[in-house]
Amino acid sequence: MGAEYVGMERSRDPAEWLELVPLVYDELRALARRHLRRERDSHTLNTTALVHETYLRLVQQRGAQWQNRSQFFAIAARVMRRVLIDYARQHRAAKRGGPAAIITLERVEEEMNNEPLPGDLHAYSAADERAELLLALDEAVSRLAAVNQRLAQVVECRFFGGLSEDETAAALGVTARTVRRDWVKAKDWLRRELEA
Amino acid sequence: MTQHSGGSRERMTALLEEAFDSGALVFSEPLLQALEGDAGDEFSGRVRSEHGISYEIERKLGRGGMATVYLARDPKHDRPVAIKVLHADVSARVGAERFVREIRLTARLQHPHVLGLLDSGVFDRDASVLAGRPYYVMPYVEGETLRARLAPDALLPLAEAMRVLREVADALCYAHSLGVIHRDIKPENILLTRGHALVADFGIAKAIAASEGGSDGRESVTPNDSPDDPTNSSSAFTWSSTVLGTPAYMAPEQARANAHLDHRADLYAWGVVAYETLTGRHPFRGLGGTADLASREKSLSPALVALVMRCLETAPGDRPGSAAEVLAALDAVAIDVSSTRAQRISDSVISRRIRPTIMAVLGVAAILLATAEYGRIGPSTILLVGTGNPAKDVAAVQAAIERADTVQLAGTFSFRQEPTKRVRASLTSAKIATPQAAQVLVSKAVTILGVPDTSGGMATIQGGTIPFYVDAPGSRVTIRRVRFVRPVAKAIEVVAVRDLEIASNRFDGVVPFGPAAAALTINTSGDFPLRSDSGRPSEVSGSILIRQNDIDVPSENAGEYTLGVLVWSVGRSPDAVVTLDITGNKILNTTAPAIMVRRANGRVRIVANTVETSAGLARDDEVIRVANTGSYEIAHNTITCRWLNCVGISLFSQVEEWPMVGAMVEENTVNMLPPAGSVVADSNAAIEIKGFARSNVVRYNIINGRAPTALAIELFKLGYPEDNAFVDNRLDGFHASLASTLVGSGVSRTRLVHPGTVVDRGVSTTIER
Repeated sequence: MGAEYVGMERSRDPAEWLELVPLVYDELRALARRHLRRERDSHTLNTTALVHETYLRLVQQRGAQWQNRSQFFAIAARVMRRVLIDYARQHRAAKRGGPAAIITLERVEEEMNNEPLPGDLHAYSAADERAELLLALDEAVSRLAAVNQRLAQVVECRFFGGLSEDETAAALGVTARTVRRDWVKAKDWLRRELEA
Repeated sequence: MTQHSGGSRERMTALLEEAFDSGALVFSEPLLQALEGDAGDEFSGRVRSEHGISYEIERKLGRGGMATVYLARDPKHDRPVAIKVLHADVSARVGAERFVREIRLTARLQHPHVLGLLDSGVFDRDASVLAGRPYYVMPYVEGETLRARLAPDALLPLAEAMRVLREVADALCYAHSLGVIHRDIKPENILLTRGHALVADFGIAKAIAASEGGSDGRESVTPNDSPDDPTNSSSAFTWSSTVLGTPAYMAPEQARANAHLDHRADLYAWGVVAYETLTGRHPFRGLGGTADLASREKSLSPALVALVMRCLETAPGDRPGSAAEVLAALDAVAIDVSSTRAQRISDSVISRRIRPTIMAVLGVAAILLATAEYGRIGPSTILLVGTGNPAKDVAAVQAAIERADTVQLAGTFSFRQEPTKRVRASLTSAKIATPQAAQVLVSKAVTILGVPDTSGGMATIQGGTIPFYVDAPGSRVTIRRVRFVRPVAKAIEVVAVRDLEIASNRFDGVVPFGPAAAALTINTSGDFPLRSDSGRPSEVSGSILIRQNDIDVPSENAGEYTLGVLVWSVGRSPDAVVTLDITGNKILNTTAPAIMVRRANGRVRIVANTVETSAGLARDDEVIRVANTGSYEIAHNTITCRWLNCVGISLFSQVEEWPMVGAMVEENTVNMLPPAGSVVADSNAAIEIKGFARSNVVRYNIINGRAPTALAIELFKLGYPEDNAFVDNRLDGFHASLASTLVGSGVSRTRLVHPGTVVDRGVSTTIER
């Protein structure tokens, strides 16, 4: 595919896409869990492989056909985002009592001045801090979408969907160079947003 | 994730980069793992290494962040072994060969408290799911990990905890001497077998770091990734923060993925483990434990607490310099058995659920051990480090006391500012002047505990008008190991409390307010208690413990009075009985009574105190003065009177309804040392009984020096003492100018045994010589 322009398939009924999402969701979630359980003899969890596997299974199960596999990737990336964010929410909820508070001297002073104590999130286990960062990223990507829809889509495909530049380019109907530039821009924007 | 203090922002930046580099799914792996549990790495059967060594794997023993441990048999030697196999994702990352090379460097460790390495290698192709995975083999040790013993409600016995911590420090000391840093000290890596500790996984974290950070690490990059994947192109690998060490035990420099770690990262982790072992909870993060943690800390020796806190310093340079230093400090720690025992009784009262959580380190200004489930329960322990700025210090201490069950103080606090906490009107209107306001109000149950700083200096409060004002009805309050330097009026004023402990504090000077000042007063009546107004005695009840304090309160100007401990009108029978213990205190240079107790409804023990008055002043006063009810035991005190007209111990009552009955005054040493060449008035005695006093016994005391009399019993305010006894007191070193024993006119039925010379003006006095 490379820099080749690939048009989005537009013939599908949007309702059909919506119908597809829960299916993809369940499939991706189940696959992710299975991958995790199996002591993977190859390498780390690989999103692209998962997405490909999901695609194949759905095709087999449902006889569903996509003229352009790339559009499935875009959907899968979006669904993957939801899968992971749900995991993060689930993790946060599983932590009894929710996030712990840090009380600093400044806080004490603030309170003395009758300012309310904001709840500070500070996660210590790898799972905790990852869950919190994912949730923060998810919100930031939603804000980014309001500013620049395509940058947000690139993040969705590259980051959440684990798609390569070419796959992302195909899914979004832009060139790989554009994806590369967008990905750099999006990361900068997210860094600023999260570190502010 | 919107609010971030300095340290966590740095961490967040590193995490974000890791997320971008690895992709969301890989990044979420720990999260998925936490949710999905550890099923799926079950394996049994024979496996062979690439070098042809076989093992018979029996079953999985456990799974950690980096590896899964299996119980296996080494067929060649027919012995059980534990095999740790790196997780697939870890081995994918690290480069198996390089890892095996690295780990060999640590194989030479041989030490009684280091779990040695028997073998290491890479499983061959036929090893099913373990194929190609690096492993290392250790002796199989029966026992359990320290983690398994850290149940929050069942702490390791202190002696065992100390032994385990010492052995871990010993292992670190040895490994560090060979240049091996552990990097992942945590309770899971400390095995307990037959009462001793074995530290496992030495150098493993380092081996992983080295093998993935080095050039070999590149080989392990997932081939599925496209060539322009940032994982490949980015020059910085950020994996390290995901695998090196365990966040909860990581030194701050390690959490920042600082490549230049040294042995002091291990000392930090040792500190976390020590904290957790001694208190049952992680210093930064709760394990969901139940109470009594603060009380456990109270029973620890301050030197041990200081050592652990030093290890937890953020900057490596502020920690002990070496494991050897930790070891030496541990050996110097004497377990304070007596305080542990004293604590046990009173602590059983507290057992409410708390959920300790997080500690925030704020550089030098303050460290707060905040243990909050946010919005639900207040923090249970807060550690404050003084700034020397009164505006900050007073507010911080006040806020901490309002929030925490235990407030630990370290360093120097300044309380030198206008006090704002109003005190009771009954105090301010009393003839003994009391300021209108105090510095910090203690209005609920709290333990205020001084923690020595790194050089062993006591937590110090400089100045302040009544630094602690305790008005905490029905609540238990403890103040220990705090040094008060020249507070105004008094260091501690108590008006309401149930169960009070004021122990091991230092009181260095007091600044009189009006003419008078005291180190410590417990006073519900304002002026001394009268029949018409005895204050609110029922508001001070339970066990009132004043022990092992060091009080030195010289007065600098004539006409000023400095007192030691004053207790007025406490306890009410039978519903609010008080037990007052004033024991083991050292009270120096008072110009008025060192210990004064009036009207205590309950038992009063004034035992084993050392009291020496200021010298040379023309004072006319009593050093230990007790009056108006109470069951007194005054024993084993050493009293040195240097005033001109001085009484060592005085028991009396001026109120018929509140007689002094049944006191036991025994085995005290009273040294009467008036200024040389002075003429002493007739009324003085080393020990005297006056007024409405019955059935008191003064025996086996040793009286030295000079005064008109050693022992005296007399009429006071219409009260005639009856049925008192002076038995076998030793007067060899005493010079009486009037008589050794004086029985005043109207005093009835006094019994004297071996009284020395006697002037008897009483009624029915019996004398046995």
